[in-house]
Amino acid sequence: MLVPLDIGLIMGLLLAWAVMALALAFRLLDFPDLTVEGSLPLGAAVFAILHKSGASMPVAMVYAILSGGVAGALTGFIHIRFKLNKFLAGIIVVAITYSLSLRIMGASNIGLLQATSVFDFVEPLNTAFPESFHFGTIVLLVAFLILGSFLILYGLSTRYGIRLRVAGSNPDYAKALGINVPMNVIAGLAITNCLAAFSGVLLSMHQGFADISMGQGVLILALAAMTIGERLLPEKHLPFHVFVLCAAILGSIAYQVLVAYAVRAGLAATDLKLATAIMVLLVVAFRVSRNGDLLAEAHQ
Amino acid sequence: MSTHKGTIEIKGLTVTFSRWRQTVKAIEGVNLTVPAGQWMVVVGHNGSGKSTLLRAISGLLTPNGGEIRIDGDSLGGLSSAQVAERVFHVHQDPLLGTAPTLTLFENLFVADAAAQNGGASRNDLLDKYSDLLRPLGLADRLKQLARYLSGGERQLLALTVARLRPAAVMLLDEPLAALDPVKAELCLEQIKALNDEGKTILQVTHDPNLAISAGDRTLVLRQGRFAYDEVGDRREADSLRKAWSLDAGGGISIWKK
Amino acid sequence: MKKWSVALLVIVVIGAAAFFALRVHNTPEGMRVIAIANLMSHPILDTVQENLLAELKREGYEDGKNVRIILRNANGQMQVVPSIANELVAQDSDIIIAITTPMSQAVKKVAQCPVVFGAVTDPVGAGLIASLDQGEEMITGTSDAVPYDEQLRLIRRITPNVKRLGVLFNPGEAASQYGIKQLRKFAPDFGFTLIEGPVSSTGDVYPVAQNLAHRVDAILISTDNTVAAGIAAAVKVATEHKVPLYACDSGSIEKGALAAVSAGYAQVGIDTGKLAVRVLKGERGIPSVTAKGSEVYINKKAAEMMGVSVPNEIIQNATKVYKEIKE
Repeated sequence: MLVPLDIGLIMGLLLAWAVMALALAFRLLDFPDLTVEGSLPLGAAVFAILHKSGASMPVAMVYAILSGGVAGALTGFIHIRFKLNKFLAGIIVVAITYSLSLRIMGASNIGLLQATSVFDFVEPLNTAFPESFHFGTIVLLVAFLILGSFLILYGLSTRYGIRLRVAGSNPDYAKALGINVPMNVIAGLAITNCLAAFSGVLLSMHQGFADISMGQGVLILALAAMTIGERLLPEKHLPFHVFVLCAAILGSIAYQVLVAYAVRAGLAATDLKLATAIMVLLVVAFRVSRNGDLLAEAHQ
Repeated sequence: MSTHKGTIEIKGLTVTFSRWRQTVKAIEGVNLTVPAGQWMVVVGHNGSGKSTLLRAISGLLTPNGGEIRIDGDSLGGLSSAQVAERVFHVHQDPLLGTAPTLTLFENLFVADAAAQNGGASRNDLLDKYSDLLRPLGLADRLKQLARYLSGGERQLLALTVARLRPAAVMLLDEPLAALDPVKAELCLEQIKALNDEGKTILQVTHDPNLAISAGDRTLVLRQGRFAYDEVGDRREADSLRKAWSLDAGGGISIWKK
Repeated sequence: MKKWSVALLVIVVIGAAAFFALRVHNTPEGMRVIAIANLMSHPILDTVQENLLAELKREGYEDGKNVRIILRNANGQMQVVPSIANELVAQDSDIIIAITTPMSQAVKKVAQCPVVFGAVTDPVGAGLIASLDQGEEMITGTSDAVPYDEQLRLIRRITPNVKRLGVLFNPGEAASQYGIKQLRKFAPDFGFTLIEGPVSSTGDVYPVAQNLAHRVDAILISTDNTVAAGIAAAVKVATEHKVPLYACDSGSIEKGALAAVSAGYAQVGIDTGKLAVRVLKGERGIPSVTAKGSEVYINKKAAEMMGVSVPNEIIQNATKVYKEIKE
């Protein structure tokens, strides 16, 4: 009965980076960033092709993460320079990354079954436990997330981070303070999409392949996970950016555990979507009075 | 924050708006000099050009003609970051002047150029900001999000932010309009404090009593031109009322006797 | 009030989990577990799965009787693929049969039991096996690589005057990536000029087919999950413009394409089933199988509607001739 918990936890920890990317852009930068759907497979594609063609794993990972950053910066640039709607800017970049990922990979799918991955290092820990409990994988992913969260939260509490958050929270106010709002939006989106690309890298390592369609559905999944997390986490005693980040991680895990239980129950694929949709609605409905007005205002 | 900074010189300023092929002149070739440290009250009917004047001085819109100089530097030649070092704008809407999802501390810190450049410790800053907020009754709320403040409290915070800015020119667009009398009095004290620190202040108001009693100088705008401009004790009610044309409403007096 | 709603939420979540838990059937003692993982549901993959199940049954493996068969389908949701792979491994399956490239990769990554893949176009390129000729201990399967030279020869025989051949395909799918390369290689040999019509979603099929119809003498759709799902749109365009529409699988012919030399997806399913049976009986190191592609499928009704007369000799030798268009 605990197997789905293990599977859901791992998937949740893998996808938490993408959920964080969406949540940080959405809540802190007031930018509903569709780019996530493109930067995730782009990261996977760049990682797969570099690693396959001989680059060492860390090098391939760094380039993959940076490629996501470039995609995010491009969305910000298009939005600001051409005064294009945030959604449209994201859609355009998703289209660009789709073709680009195909070009980079030279195929729609690259197998990474024989390639080294970060999970190789913790394999002994996995085998030390019962088959259905991937202790090593979980420890590694949690360690990544703690490290990443610490870096992000530290960055957001420095003066540059505070300026970034002011630029997202109230651009007029930021402008009056002499903060370069466009640069902060571009930089912010670059950072969040680095996270999404990292999610893609981890996913491709974990599942053993990079595929062009990996990003499809990530946005809806991330939105649902974000919503669940925000409704589950008590908001009042946390600074807003800490709340957004923790809610994303918590929501991602909760959502994937739900999915894993639904898969275990053998629900037909079509029912699976309905089941998760109902779960999301239930969580949202029961916590509607809590953070509702805060989040409503946050994206005014 | 030295007292000799904050001079505003305006020559031949013209601002026009084009809407549906009609050109409306919001400001028509006005000249104005505000010496450093002066507190000027600006009044006029809606649409008379008050806000446009303030927006032009804060660099939020580009004039169609004329020139604005602050401490001798033409606004057109300054970057927006440089303008922000010289001019600070407080809006009528309390929600516009603070970042809702940041704490009061962060709101103040981000405005405090000195703190960001210097190595003041967090505890020093906490003391400094607590001292600023104490008279306003907000000292113990430094770690709360700004959005949990009421509208009036947020306007008080916005004016406290103004006190931390390096800018020598403060443009206050009806900062008291949405406040209850107690908050309005507290805000007025903040403005006085700003002026005492040597800031040049341009304050827009619709309050006739403020127009005659507050500040050092009163300016009436009418259809994009100056209809009245007097300093200190030379301001008197009758001529101000005439210039402002407040009696248009059928003899209803809004002056406090 | 708040505590009340939290409690209710917890109850609902636990209740839902319990509901799911009750639905999980535990494998009876001594029964072997056959797990089948499919990526999505559409004519080609459904054909493979149906024939695979039929073959297992023919060999005496029937769900609930002597084995437990677990079916899982990701419904095209890529993020569910690894979840399904892990879940099937955790079910202590004796064999996992994975249909499509990504599903096979995800399963191979985590599997601890023998794996049989099905309908993978390029298993070597996908990293599933090292070579097509040599067997491997824990994995074998079927490739559905279409014989594109045979396909082009058939088009030439049915419609000798075709010069410009339009190709509808999704460059985002492994099978089509493989297919378009093969077509580019063989087209000059048969005197065709290829006009490529890439689509990225099923919704693109209609407009792209419209666009092609004005510029080409015939259209070929590759073995493509995206185009296969939008076949009706392509048939509509082809009949409107009287442009012969060819395909590479029998399912599309049944649904209104004119003719195909098919890898025979029914055969892919059967072959996959046969491999699975051999593995279940303990055999290891079986080399992978490439689908034999001399099966010719014709749809007479479609030919009529597209204004094409198919030579009698071809009809007589066809594996199957459809007389109706299945909606």
